[in-house]
Amino acid sequence: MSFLRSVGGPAFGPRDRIVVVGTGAAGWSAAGELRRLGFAGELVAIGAEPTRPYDRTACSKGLLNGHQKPKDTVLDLRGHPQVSWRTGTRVLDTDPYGRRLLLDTGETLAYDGLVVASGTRATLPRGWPTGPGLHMLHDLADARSLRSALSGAGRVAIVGGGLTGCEVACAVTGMARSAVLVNSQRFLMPRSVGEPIGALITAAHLASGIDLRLGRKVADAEPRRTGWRLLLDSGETVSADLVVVTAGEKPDVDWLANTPADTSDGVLCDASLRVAGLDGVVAAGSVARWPDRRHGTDAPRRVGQWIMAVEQGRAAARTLLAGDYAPPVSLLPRFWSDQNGLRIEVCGRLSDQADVHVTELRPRRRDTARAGVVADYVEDGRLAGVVAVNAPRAFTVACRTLLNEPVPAPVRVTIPEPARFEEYQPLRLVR
Amino acid sequence: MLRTAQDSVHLVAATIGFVSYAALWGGTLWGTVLRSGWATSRLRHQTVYSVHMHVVLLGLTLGIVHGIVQMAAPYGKVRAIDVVVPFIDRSDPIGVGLGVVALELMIATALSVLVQRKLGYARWRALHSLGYLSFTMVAAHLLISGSEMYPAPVRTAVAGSWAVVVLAGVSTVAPVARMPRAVLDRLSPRHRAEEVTVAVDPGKCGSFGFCEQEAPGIFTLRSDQRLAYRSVVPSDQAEAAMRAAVVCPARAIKLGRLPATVVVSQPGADTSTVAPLATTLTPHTGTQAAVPDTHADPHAGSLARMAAAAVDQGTGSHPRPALTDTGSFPAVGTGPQPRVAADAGSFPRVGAQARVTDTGSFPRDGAQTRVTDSGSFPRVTDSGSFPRVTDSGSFPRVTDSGSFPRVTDSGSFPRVTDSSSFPRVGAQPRVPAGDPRSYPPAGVGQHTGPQPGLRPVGANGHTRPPAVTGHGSPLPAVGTPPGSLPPVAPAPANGHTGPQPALRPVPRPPARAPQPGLRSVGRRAAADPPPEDPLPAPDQLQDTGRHHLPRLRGIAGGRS
Repeated sequence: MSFLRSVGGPAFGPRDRIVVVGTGAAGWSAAGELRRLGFAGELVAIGAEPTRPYDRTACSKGLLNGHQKPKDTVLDLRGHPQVSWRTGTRVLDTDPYGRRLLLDTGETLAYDGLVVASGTRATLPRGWPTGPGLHMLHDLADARSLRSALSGAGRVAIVGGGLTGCEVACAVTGMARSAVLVNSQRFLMPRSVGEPIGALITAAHLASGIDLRLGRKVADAEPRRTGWRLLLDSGETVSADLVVVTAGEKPDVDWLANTPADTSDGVLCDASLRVAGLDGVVAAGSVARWPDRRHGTDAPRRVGQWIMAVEQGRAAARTLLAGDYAPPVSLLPRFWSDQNGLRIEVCGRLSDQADVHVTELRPRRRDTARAGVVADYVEDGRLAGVVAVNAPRAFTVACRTLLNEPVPAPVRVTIPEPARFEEYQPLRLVR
Repeated sequence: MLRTAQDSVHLVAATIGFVSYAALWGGTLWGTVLRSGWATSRLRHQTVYSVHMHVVLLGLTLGIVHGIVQMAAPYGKVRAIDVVVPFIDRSDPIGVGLGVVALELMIATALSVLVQRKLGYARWRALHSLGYLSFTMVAAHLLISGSEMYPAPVRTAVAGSWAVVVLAGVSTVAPVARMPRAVLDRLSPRHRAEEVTVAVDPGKCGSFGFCEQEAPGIFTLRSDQRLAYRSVVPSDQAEAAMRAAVVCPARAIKLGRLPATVVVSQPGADTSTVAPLATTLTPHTGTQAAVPDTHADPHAGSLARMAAAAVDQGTGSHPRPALTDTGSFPAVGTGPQPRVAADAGSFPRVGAQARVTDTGSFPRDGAQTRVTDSGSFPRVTDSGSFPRVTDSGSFPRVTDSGSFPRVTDSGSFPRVTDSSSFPRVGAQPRVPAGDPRSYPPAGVGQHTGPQPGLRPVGANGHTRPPAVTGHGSPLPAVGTPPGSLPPVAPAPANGHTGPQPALRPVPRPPARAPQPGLRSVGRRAAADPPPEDPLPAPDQLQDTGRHHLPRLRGIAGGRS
């Protein structure tokens, strides 16, 4: 805790420099919010990707099916005056006491305040071979290469039946290619939408012609002369021209490894998104693991959602400028997906212990999901989460109820003390 | 009067042709309506779409019939091959040929709907706009070879109907569609500066309803799953509108004129002392009076290169933040308080001195104003396409030795390029004389002088010097009068990234001690009135009272 904050002064003045690491949704909104809140010092945003801030959700949605071009996904920078965007630059290491960053250009960049918004990166499962025709989908470059590869492909295998996998499968079938989706669970999107709605969506996707291999795992992947062959644990094989692996992502926190911050899973933050153990550092986006009061438990967790990232970026900026007077941050998780005409919307938390009330909007229809269905997750008699498919009106009403609901009392987390100076190791390169 | 068979056939063919033309005209015009989204606030998208499809198909069918009927004339000059192959008709090659080409083009355009998914939307869209071309050819065919075309009103009607279609088609092109609003903005800029305009693209809107969650006063998702919204939003609701635009899943909400608030200066900015300092600090620039602010953007060269790269690829321009236009920014004008005066800490911010040099072009007549609508600001509009800074995993460092010496890593950090051998035990500090990448070339003589930060670390190769007592800072405190500055002081032209002061034998403070830099700021903050909050709370914004007009627009639900 700095002297300045203890006397209640503004945490950052016009001569300070705040560095935002990450130009995704969280970094973009944090930079904008810092300026909007009147931070008049120098503001530098460092992003590893060589592009301007863009809408990452389009990578699995509009960019794949061709309804959006890359320039349509560019985020608005009109609310970001005087921000130095250093794209294509990676931060290699951090000196939390000298408050400096080591960049991959060899420079060091001093900071007074730091926003950690470096996000995640897609990872392959262990033991997977790499090669042409194997794609992951995380950023714009991935989407571009996958899109161009799709034009010459006839059959695409998608590994992982989460949100991204389903969106890719829908984009593939929307381009008149055949899609095979391998999922380890018996229904699609288990974590995102829960079982009742997940089963309905699975039925809808089966009806729309996606070849689903449910309850299977990929035992082996083998590149062939043209395309790939996947061996499933049930013994069957899947041949495809392209393989898209959407099986997990990893927080990009290597550059914080030399700091006392807890980077075991993302960056551990307190309830106000301040990075535990570091002074003048906040985190936002999918890299931030923080205890949300709305979540009901004290366990800090990460949320990798677009709207959440934007709101976290704003909240982190407010926290950074407010210093010790920052209120706890509590945000409602919300996301959406559009899959072959199924408008899926989710908000709140979907826990296994909750009672689920499923309402069909048109009960006589056989295609339940397409006709509209809402699932309310009720915990202790209170609405905790909503999943809706093709029911935007009902979803909006429920979601506004959740948004207006008073948030429970803040969660206390113990913040580890910053390490002493003697414990600090000299900077080294993280590769 | 008895008609000959020839006349009768011709009459039938001409009638069918006229009806076909009328249907094609209506269908094409309706297509522009479909494209512009104008009708979707009144009608369902599916209805508009099927009207377009059926009317055009009717016209197309009649056109085919028109071509076949021509062959039925007993003494006709049109052969079967003339109806299929253009420009070989013997009596009227141009006129008939245009009709044949138009018909075939239209058939191809119609059939492309069937393979729309295979083609992809953008390609199909480009192919589909050939409909305008084929309609133009149909009109030309009618004007050239139509036998009833002699009366002037008929010619005028045909030409006029063609012009209507072309104008309607052009008006759906995005830049043209934006023009009316741009013109209105120009006519009454003050009027509209206080408001935010909201436009929802009906073709994109998926009726998810997230906008209503954020801004229920602006957007309403009606029970028929169409969105109603206010097209003009007062500034106190602008933030809600911005949030709604961000969370919109379909990215269908476009806001006009975000209220960007910018602080220009602060009250009582004393710049009389810094102006001569600036000239003192930049002796080497010679004729250059106003030094480009290299501090505020130490990588200005890199960004400039990025922008140049983007321009080279013809992909538009990168928003160039803070290249040289920091004149309007309160980096320095905030008062004479030296930031690093008491800075005996580990990393005296070298940039603090350089920051003072920013004030050459500052302040702008001492005005401390809130500039809404960011007129004086670089318009960071994102209209450009994606500037792909290709292969820029790292900035090309070869070219930047001209004006910005990147002496960035000569301090405690090793060069990244030789990270394999790091830490370089026993290595000499890299002060490469002939390395153009990290050191200014010989032409930049003023930088090659003895730099305070470039002293060798020591042969032990540690990246950081051992804690040495003593405080031999070669950097002058900012508070010293300008004349006493040693001439080498201006070297850190690139601000923080200059020679790392870690090389100075400076004791590191204990870890939890307050940061020296921050402490000095804290004193200033305690002594001075805090800088004025540049952004008023939404409820402090002036209420113009203009937003009481309930301007509701409705648009339709999602695309089919």
